[in-house]
Order: sequence, then structure tokens, then C-alpha cells
Amino acid sequence: MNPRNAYYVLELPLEATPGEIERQGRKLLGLIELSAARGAAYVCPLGAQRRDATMVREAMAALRDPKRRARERFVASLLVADTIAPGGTAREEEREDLDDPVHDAMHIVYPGL
Amino acid sequence: MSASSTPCTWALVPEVLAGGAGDVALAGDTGTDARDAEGGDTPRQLATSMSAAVDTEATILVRDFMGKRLLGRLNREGGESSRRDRRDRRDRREPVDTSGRPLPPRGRGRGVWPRTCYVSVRIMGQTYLGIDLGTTNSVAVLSDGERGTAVRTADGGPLLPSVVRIDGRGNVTVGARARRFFDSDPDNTRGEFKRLMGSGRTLSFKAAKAHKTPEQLSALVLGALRGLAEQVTGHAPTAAVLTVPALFELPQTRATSEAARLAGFERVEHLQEPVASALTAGWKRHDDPSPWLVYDLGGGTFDVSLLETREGVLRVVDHDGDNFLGGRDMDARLLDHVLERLRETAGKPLARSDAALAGVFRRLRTACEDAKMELGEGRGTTVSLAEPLVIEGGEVVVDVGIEASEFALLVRPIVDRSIDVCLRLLGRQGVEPRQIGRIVLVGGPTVMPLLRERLLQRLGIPLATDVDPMTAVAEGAAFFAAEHGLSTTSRAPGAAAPPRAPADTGAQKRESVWLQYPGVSGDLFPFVVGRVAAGALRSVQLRRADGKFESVEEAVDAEGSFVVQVELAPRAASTFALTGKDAAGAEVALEPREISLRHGLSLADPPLPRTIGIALADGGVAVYFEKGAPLPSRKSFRLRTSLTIHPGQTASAVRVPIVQGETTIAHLCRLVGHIDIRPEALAEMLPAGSAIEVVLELDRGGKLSASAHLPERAVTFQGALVLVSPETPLADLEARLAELRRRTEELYGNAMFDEGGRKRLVSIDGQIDDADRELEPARGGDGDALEKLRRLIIDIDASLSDAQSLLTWPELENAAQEAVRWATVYTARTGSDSERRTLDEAIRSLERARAMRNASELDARLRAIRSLGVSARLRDPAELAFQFEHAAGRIGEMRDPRVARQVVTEGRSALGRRDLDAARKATYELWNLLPPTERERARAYGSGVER
Repeated sequence: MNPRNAYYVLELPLEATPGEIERQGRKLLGLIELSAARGAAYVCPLGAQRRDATMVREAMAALRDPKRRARERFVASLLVADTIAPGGTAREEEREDLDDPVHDAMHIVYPGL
Repeated sequence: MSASSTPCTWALVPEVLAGGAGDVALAGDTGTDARDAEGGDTPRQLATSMSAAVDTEATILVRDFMGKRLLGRLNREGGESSRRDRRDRRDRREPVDTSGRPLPPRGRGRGVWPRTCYVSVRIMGQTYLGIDLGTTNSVAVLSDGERGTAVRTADGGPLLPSVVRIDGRGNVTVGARARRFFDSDPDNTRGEFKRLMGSGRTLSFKAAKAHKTPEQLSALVLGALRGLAEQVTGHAPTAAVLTVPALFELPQTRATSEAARLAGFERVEHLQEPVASALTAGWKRHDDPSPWLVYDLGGGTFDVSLLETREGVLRVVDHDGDNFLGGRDMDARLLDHVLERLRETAGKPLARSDAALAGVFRRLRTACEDAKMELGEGRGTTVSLAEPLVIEGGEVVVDVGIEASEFALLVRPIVDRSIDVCLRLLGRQGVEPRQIGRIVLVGGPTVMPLLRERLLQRLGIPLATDVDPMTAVAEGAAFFAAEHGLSTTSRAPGAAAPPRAPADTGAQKRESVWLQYPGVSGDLFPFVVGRVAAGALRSVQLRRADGKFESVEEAVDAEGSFVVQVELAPRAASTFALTGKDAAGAEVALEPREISLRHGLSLADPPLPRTIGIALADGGVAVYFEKGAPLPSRKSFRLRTSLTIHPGQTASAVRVPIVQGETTIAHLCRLVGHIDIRPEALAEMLPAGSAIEVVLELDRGGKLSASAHLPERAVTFQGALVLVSPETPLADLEARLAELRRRTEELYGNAMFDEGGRKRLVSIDGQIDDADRELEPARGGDGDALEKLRRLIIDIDASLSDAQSLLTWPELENAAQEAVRWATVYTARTGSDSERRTLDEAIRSLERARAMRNASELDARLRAIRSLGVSARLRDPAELAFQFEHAAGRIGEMRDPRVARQVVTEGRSALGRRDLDAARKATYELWNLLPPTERERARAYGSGVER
């Protein structure tokens, strides 16, 4: 679950129309511009979060695009908390997959983290 | 002013608008029929048709320069003291001429006036200025927020040629007069400098022995337009919206800002040209449900945008373009053709690499530009010069006949190239041409019938006819200024007056409020957001001036902010009066007393045309602004130094290179700027691994500002961003182009290349041909060609690297399969739910990249999958211990062995007490202590930072 989901950032219900999205976004940008406290923070299922103008603009842009809006809506609808599967023990044959873990870390893995 | 016995009609006469600063002089018609200025007569005709006498009392019907009625708004209060005498005469209604001097009486007796008389009227309301600074011509448009009117230049048209001449005495001429000297004085006349903006080059004016940067020359053009706007508005505009091509890079955008500053503007916002023209087109047709294209072919650049309007909001779905495609390329093709013919007839080599002939080529190009207009309309013509050229002591007469069909063949590849870009854009968005409602054409070359015919032939999309291709961009900029309240009198942010403190009017208390609201809103029910500047209010209410709407009394919260929803009158401006109530419920007057909102088309945040990131020392790119990100945007992030620097060293700055490009491979992106953390600003050594906090901020037009802060030293590098395009000497470019050609030929001979690979090579061949064409004029001293060559070479390099990666495609596919296999195993076993979902998504993206054989995209997905796999893998305690010890075994290679030893101690301790989070952190820290190689750094523009 991502606390920066566009629906959370804009504090909108999932059924919000494009017009409501624009109206709410512009209202929040106005509040942020005036340094009003209710513009600077929001509450989502993951707790209170800080909010700035860039986050609001990005959320508006995401919800203007029909494909991205569908994805944001889907993710926001997932109310199941993240769970981490219980740890296991790596088998030796799987360890071979990372022949040089450090090399991978510096040149392949880390830039994507 | 009361009504007179003789009705009188007044109209503006543009020629006299410069008569008074701040005020506008009007010519009056004293005919017996009340006739509106819209009645069909032009202002000039009205002015010359006056004959009767006028009484001292008159009803005056006037319209401002936008055509808006200004009934009865006569200024009888005087104005600036320097013009007091003139104003006094006007207020006494004595006859005066256009400059305020008294006119001799005509006729006799009281109330007998000359044929022309003048009064003074102050234009009410705000005006907004939009400027299209073009490669060939520039345009300024003034708007009142409803309609736009192009500012007329000396020749009466809207176009000001972007040409500057400086003579031997240092006199500067701008516009059409300067352009006339292209033929006769090419060494002191310069044009097309927009294409060199931000390149760091200078242009010489031989007679004046002066060198000017493209920014300085653009400033002269902007200054001329500002002066013309001043003649209309009566004041020198301090703010404007300036357009820039969508694919302008950061140095070019920044250079445009600098030009505006030099021209005297205090506040400037940038707007991408296609967005501006789209705004104009959308402004005129709000309810078009189908998507549409804006095809903008300017003098030097081509942009195409796909747009849609939904619920009053205009959205740029996507755009594409070519920074080096425009009318100038048509001129160049025509010039090449003419030169070929001259070589045949005159027997002279006329090599474009001959620097001594640079002036000759400029004269010929001007002649070609003139001929192009006729040829574009399907008429044959001749390219001719009034006087023969003198070459190698002999005379060459230029009189070359060209048929329209010849010209069509010459320019068709250019038009087709632009259409290919349109199809690429539509293909990317999965839209068929038949789904597009119309194409809005913008830019000088689009008036050519042959271009329009070709567009219709290949795309089959109707062409819009309600937008003027020449002024659409500037008009959109003016609308944008209106939407954002950037009026011609706006001051720089630092100079803005704070809201006034509560004014003691004696009769009524007045509270000041800050307000945020859209000047133009596509939404009929927008919010007005406010905050009380001082004092306390209980509630705020807005009432529409027409009495048809009254908001609820919205409560003001504890910190003084409030949100009021209003209802606008459809398709019109709505004025709202603001009132408040104090804690006791007593009414309180507010400042401002009223605000105005217009219902119309509003613009969604424009998208960033290119991805921006930081080149990292390991050769990768950390992306901070994705292509398509809404502007404006601001990002702050923390990087680490990969080098140790010592105070006093002069050549050991830590460089933070800023790059633009669509790949995460640093050397394939373009370097557009950098921040240097210089040792002289440090009191003591800065070890590798020190934190750097970087803030990057992009404004609405894509202008970047940056700062860097060293939190451990409390040192901030303000304005350390130096945006210059890399200067590469011509000799190096030639060698690089030869190398690229050799690599391409090698790839042609590679048996491993399949059909898809060969198609890419053919496309690269075309790019090399383009570069070849620029080589010769670049050798002849054409700075524009040199700049184009440099950029083309970077593009070719990137295309070739992509093509070469196809050879390693099987390896890349194998690596992808392996990564998917083990990442799936570990993510299933120890990953979180979100990691598993993200991995599924990444695998789908990877499959798409495989299907499209897109190597750089496949590489990017591969990195993401490996990263997810490693993240899950390090949750396995046994695997974590193995990876930690493997890294700890390389301590001797690490940048800071002392720190590394400490991390190893902490990591082992964490493993001992089964603190897996701490052990993971230690493992990552050890990996990060391994330095990138020098070779990697060099390929990453000397980057000295890591994530």
C-alpha cells in the first residue's frame, strides 16, 4: 500500500469525477500556497502524511490519465495490509544465482533500489 | 459627464495610442448619427469623417483596444506630472493634437472645434502580454483575459522579424528594417539566433567590433516588442508569458529567461509553444469532444501535440517533435538547389565550407526565403539578386528559375519527416488518425498549400481554420498570463507589496486577506481559498455582482484560512464582492473588496517533455523528473559524494551532473548543467560518502533552478548551477561523426543483424546524412550548423548504442530469464505482498520490452527485477549472512577502510543478536563503500556522486 496513492493525497473518494479531481486539486494547491495547515498534511490508512504542491500536481496528473487512474483506484481499493511471508533458508543451488553479489549490488541492483 | 444635444461617436485611432503614458487618446466623430465604432468604419475612417461641432458636454461611446465598451470612463483626474499640461488642456477640452499641443482654432464662436479633437481615457482592468519569440519572426499579443489582439509593428502587421543589425556607430536596428540589410550588410546583421540560445556562443558585428550572445540579441527583439506593447497600454509591461519550444533543453530555456530580464521584464513565465497554441485553439472551441492535434512547424523547430478537452480542462496527452526541423530546412534545401544551378552556369565551386563566402550564402538564403512563399503557393518563381555576386574577382548573376513541382520535390522529405513524427506520436498513444477530430496548424510554413495538401493526403484529418497560424502561440501565452493573473503590471516577487494592514477608514474597519483562485476556470463551481492577513474573522461570504449567486458563510478556521465555493456565470466573467463577519457577528469590509473569475478553458499542468536526472559515478542515472511529470515541480533528495576532496585543491570539485534523456545510461543522456561543490568553500576535508542535499525546481516552462547543501558542514551552494551546453570543437565533431559512420558500416556487415536491426540502421543512416549536410556550412563558420551537428551526433550515438545492443540481445534475454526466475523464487518466499505485486508488474513490462525488442527498456526492467529480488533475498537470514560476509571480504578495496571496518563490526554484532534490519543496513553500506571505477566516472560526465 502506497501512502502517496493519488486518491489519498487528494483525499478523494474512488468515485470522484474528473471535474471533482480538478476542483479538489486546485483547492489543495491554493491552501498549500497560503501555507494553510490543512493543505500541508493528510491522513490515509497508513497514518498522517506530509503533502506538498508537487505531490498534489503529480496526483492530479495521475488521475487525469484514464489508465493511471484505473491503476491508482485499484491500488487504493486494496485494504489488505502488507504482510511479509515467513523467512526460509536459501538452498545452495539458488545462491549460485548471484555469482558476484557485490558486483551486482554496485552495477545492477543498487541503481534500481 | 452628462449627455449632449448632439450625439457623438468615438473610436480609437491606433496611430495616436502612444499619445500619453497611462492614458489613451481618442479621436471623436461628431456626426449627428450615433454610430458605434463597430458600425463598419475603421477607426481611421471615423477619424477623417468628422465634420460637425461638438459641445463641451458629450455622450461618448468608446471601445478600448480590445473592442470592449468603456462608456463614460473619462479620466478627468490628470496623471503623471510630466504630462500635466497636456492633460489639463484635455480636461478643459481645449483642442489639442496627438501629442497634446494646442491646435489653432477653426471656425468661430463657442463650441466650435477642429476636425479632430482628443480626450483622455484611462483603460480600466488588467492587460496581459504573451510573446512568441520565434526563430524567424516574433509576435506579441495583448489580452484582456477574454480576447487577444496582436500588437502591430511598424509595417502594420503582427510579425516582427527576429533580426538585429548593429552598424559601425553602434546604432541598433531590430525587425523588418534590420532584415532588409541581410543582403547588403550581412556581416552586421544577424538572425536565427534563437537556435543558438544557451550554447555559450557569441555572434560578431564587424563594423561595430561588437560581439553579442544570442541572449543579448533576443533581448533586443523582446525589448522592441515590449516597446510596441507600451505604445498600446501606455505603460512598459513588467511581466509577460514567453513561449519556448516543447523540446527546448534547460540551457535554452534559461537563456530565454535571461533575455527577458535584459529586455526589462521583471517577471516572466515560460509556456511550451504547443501548449500555448493548443490553449488558443481550445479557447475558441470549448466543447470539442474528440482529441485533436496541434501541428506547429516554426522556422527552426517542429512540435506536435495530442490534446483533449474534458470538463473544461485542456490536457496535453502527449507530444513529440524535432528540435531541428522547420522552415529554415526548406530554405536550406532550396539554397542547395540554387547553388547547384549556379555552379553549373557560373563554373564556380561555391563550396559552403568556404568561410569567405559566408556573406554570399546569407544573401542567397534571404532570396530563397522570399521565393519560398510563392513556391509554396504552387507558383513558379525565380531566385534572384538585384546585383551580381562578386566571387573570386568575377561576377555571378543570380537569376535562377524554379518550378513549383521542383520545390515540392525538394521540401517533401521535410514535410514527410514531420508527418512521421505525428504518426509516431499517435502510434505511441494507440490512436488512429481517423479518431482525431482536427489538426490545428501553427507556424509560418503551415500556410503553404502544398504542405496542407500533403498533410491531408497522408493523415486524412480535417484541418482547423479558426486559428491564425502566425499569432496562435503568442495569443495562447497571453491567455495563459490571464489565467494565472500575470498582468503587464505584475512585479518581481520580491517587489510585490504585501497585503495592506487593516485600513482605518474611520467609518468601517477593513481586513486584508490573501486569496488563491483561478483567473479562468473550466469548472463552474470552483473554490476560492483565502487566509486572513491580520486580525480575526469568524466567516467569509462572496456575492456575485449580478445578484444571482450568494455563497454560504464559510467559517474561518483557527489559523485564519477559509475555503468558499462559488458559482460562475457560464462563459462569462463573474465579479464577486467579498464580505466578512467578526466574532461578534458584525460585518467587516475586506480588502480586496471584489475579485473576478472567468468561466472558460483552463489548462492542466503542462507535462515535462524530457526526463531529467542526475548522472551517477557508476554510469547510471538517478531520475528525479520523469518525462510527462506535471510542471511546475520541485524535488529534494540526498546523494553522497564518491570522492574525497581537500580544501585548497583546485581541481577536485565534486560534480553533480544534470542530464536529460530517456535512458538510465548516463553517457547516452545529454549533459545540460551541473552543480560543482568546490573545495575552496570548505574549511576542512570532505570525505567520500558525505551527504549532499540537492533541491531541483522546475517552473511551469521547464526552467530549472538548483541548490546543493552539505548538511554535515552547514554549507549551502546557492546558484551553483551553471547551465551551459558542452562546447565541442568542430574537428572533434568531425572525428566523432566519422567514427559513428564506421560503426554503422560495421553493423551492416554483421550477420547477426535481423530485419528489425537493419531497419534501425537505415534510420541511423538518415541521421548521418542530416549531420553530413550540416558539416559543410559548419566548416564555413555557420554557428547554427555547428550546434545542430553537435546535437545530431549525440542522437546518432544513442541510436547506434540501442542498435548495437540488439547484437547482445540473446545475452540480455538470458539474463532477463535468469533474473525473473530467482527474483520470483525469493519474492515468493520472503517478499511482501506489495513486492510480489510490483514484481508481477515489472515482469509484464519486461515482456513488453522483449516483444518490442527495446534494449534500453529491457535493461531498465531487468534492473528493477533484480532490485526486487535482492530486497526479498536479504530477508532470508542465511542469505543475508552470506552476502554480508562476501562484502566484508573486500574491505581492502573500499573507499574508506576505517568506516568499512566499523560497519563490518556493527554488521557482525547485528547478525549475532539476530537484528536482521541492522545487518541488512550494514550489507548495503558495505556495497556502497566500493568506489566506481574512473572509467565509469568519465562516462558519467565526471560525476562525483552516488545514491
